[in-house]
Amino acid sequence: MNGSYSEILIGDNSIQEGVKSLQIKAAIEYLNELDLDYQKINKDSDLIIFNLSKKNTKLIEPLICMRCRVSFGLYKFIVRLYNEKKEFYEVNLFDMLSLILLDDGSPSLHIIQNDETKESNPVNWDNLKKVNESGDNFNYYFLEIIYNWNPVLSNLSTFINDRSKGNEDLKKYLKSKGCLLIRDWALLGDSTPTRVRNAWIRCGEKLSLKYVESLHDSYLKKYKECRPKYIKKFGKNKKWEPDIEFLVSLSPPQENNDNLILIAEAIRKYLSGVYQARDLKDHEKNSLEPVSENNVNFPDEFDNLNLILESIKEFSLEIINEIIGPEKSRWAKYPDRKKAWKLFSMGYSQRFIAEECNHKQSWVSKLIPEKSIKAKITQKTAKHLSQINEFHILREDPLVLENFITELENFLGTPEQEGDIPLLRKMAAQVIL
Amino acid sequence: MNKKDKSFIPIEAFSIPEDTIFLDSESLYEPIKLAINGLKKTIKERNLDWHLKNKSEKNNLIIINGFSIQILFTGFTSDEIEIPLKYWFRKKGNPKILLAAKIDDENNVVYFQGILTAKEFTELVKNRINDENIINLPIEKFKGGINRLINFVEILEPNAIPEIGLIKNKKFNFTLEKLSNRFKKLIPLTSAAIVLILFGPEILKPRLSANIASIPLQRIEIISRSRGTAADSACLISPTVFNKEDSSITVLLNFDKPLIFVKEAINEIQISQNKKLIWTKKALINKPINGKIFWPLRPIKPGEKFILKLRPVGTSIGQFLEIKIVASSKEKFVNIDDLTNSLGDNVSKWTNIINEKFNNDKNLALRLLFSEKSPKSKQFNQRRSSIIDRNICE
Repeated sequence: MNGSYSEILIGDNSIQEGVKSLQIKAAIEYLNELDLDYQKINKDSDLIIFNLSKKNTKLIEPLICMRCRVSFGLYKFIVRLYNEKKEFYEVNLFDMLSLILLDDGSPSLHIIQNDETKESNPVNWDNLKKVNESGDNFNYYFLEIIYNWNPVLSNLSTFINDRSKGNEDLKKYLKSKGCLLIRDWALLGDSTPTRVRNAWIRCGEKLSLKYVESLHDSYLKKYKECRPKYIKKFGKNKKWEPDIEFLVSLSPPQENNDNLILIAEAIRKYLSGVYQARDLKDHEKNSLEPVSENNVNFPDEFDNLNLILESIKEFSLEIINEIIGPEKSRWAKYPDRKKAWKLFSMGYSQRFIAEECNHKQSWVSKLIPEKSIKAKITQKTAKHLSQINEFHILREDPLVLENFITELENFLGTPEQEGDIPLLRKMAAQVIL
Repeated sequence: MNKKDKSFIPIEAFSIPEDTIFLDSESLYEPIKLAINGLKKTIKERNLDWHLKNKSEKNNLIIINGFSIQILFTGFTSDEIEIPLKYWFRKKGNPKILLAAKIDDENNVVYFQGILTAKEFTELVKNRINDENIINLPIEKFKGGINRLINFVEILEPNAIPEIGLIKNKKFNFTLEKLSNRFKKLIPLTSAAIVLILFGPEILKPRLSANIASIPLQRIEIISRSRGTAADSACLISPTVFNKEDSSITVLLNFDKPLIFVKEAINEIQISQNKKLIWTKKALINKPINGKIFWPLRPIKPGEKFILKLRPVGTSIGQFLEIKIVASSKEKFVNIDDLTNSLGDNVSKWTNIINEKFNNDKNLALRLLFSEKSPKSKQFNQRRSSIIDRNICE
């Protein structure tokens, strides 16, 4: 998909690509009138067209060219995000595109959010300015991006990426899929000097480490001062970003966001290794075939072993019933959910279940939160037993309690013999029947 | 590490861990309120009969069912957390538990990383307190997620977790030993006896991580120098985690007496330094060298380099696999004898240090696991066997 200043990209679920492109006649004619041949997007052209939009405040055409340009930037961002997450998460490219690519190129739009009059207004700079000055919110995200872009602080592509990470609809969608969008400014504020140092040594480019460390250190101090002030002033904690006053107060003073963005990018690259490894660990942990070694240390010779076993079985059934009970009513409509539980009860790995049910692993881990289920069962079992005099030490010694809970978790998740099915899954099988 | 790794693609969206709490995304919360509301939501969702009382103006000290809990927060992607020490220098009423929350106030999400008991916390920071009002700790020091808090508050009696305070200038306001004695008095001897009967002594001890057995065994190939001879190889158990560049294999060591352990039988071993052969051992006829070889020379000093050459059974004379051993120049270069002597025959201490080293120095973890001084333990034997018996050698 190539972008231009006269072709707008619109999210469309009904077509295979999820996006359709529309040549905007008004934009083509405007560019021709100006004798400008902007077939390809670049930084200089972004700036010229943006300035034309601001200068010719009544004209809609330069803003339409900007809208075409922004639609392409948004499209690129979404595709990148989708490619990053598609392997493990149930993200849908078309859904994501249709959340973001809402501009159909109309010369007039309902510009103001929650405007009861539902009046359409020509999309020109004057009207955007009016919305901003009246304190209303823009009804369309792409208009907010165009109006708020400050070319001195960052280039348009970077600004589109940054603002997209703050898009509420996209954030909500990704949250529902198990992912969190974090803007560069929060990421920089969350990162310690040690992480920044490691990230820069591994993934940084262009700036010296000393420069980066000093800049980040001053960023942390100023960020902690400025953000609470912003929240107090505007009554919101979203959309904070450095302004020029903030940037010049840093050490060394900055003229724009470029260096901060370079640092944030190095952190993101560095964390992609760390986080993806951690991600995989989580997934792998869940998807591991039961380990063959039996770690359970309940000695056979004690009478109370039976009491422990009976309790853990009782609470396993109770908790699994609580989870599967409401789930069963959906099985007729969603047979893949039933199939997943069944495969789980037969001892199959998360990865295998995901493949068999045509879903991603994140879907399986959300449907069958094995770790939480085990935690709830062991908690209830330990609490119940702690009330019995023989087990009163569980109420009195945190170390004994923790070891006991670990043993119960092992007992639930580990087969007694190689090739056997762990107790938790056997209990699930009973509930499914 | 100096080479810039261009293969990494920046991560745009972060994974949300299981047990993350989502609050109404439209509301504006102060960070501490976000954490408290996250906790309240958990209490409600889990049907916990908890009564939460505020004990400070800033809402960061609460009491739940008799447990005083200091709530801490940091960014969702942060690697560190700030701990205000305001409540830690009092004679009475110090927190019993620290609860760490990772929050994102733009998305209104909370994830409870875990807790530290007062005892765990004071042990972590006891040598770091001078005049600070705030101390930072790596976020991963907080263990167990929200479930550890629930287990403790739901099951333990409040006096099972003692209050421990700090005083400035590196001293505690009372010693941990005294406290431990006091704590022990809380447990009647009969109870201790019952728990030992019920679970045996094992339940009181930390467990040696089963992941130890996953340390990869590495196969090293000998590039044959004589035409027509097939390449041979050996499966190395220790040292491990080497860097392979071209055909050169390097091991970086942070301790002074490495363990040489090859799975297959060996016909010849050589150790040289500065191109001089300083030690060698050859197999006798029909009696190859098998098993562990503890470092046969004086302890290695920081920064020293050696070449270790091994000739597995079945290879021709002169065909060695070669490993460069480079001792790090770290200040904390470990003296194995000092370390193992300090551990004595305390299985818990050995277990803890092997588990810890497994995460950051696998060679040292292996060295300790196979140490000639390691205590007698069934679990240690199991772990050693599971490493030696592994069929996969990468």
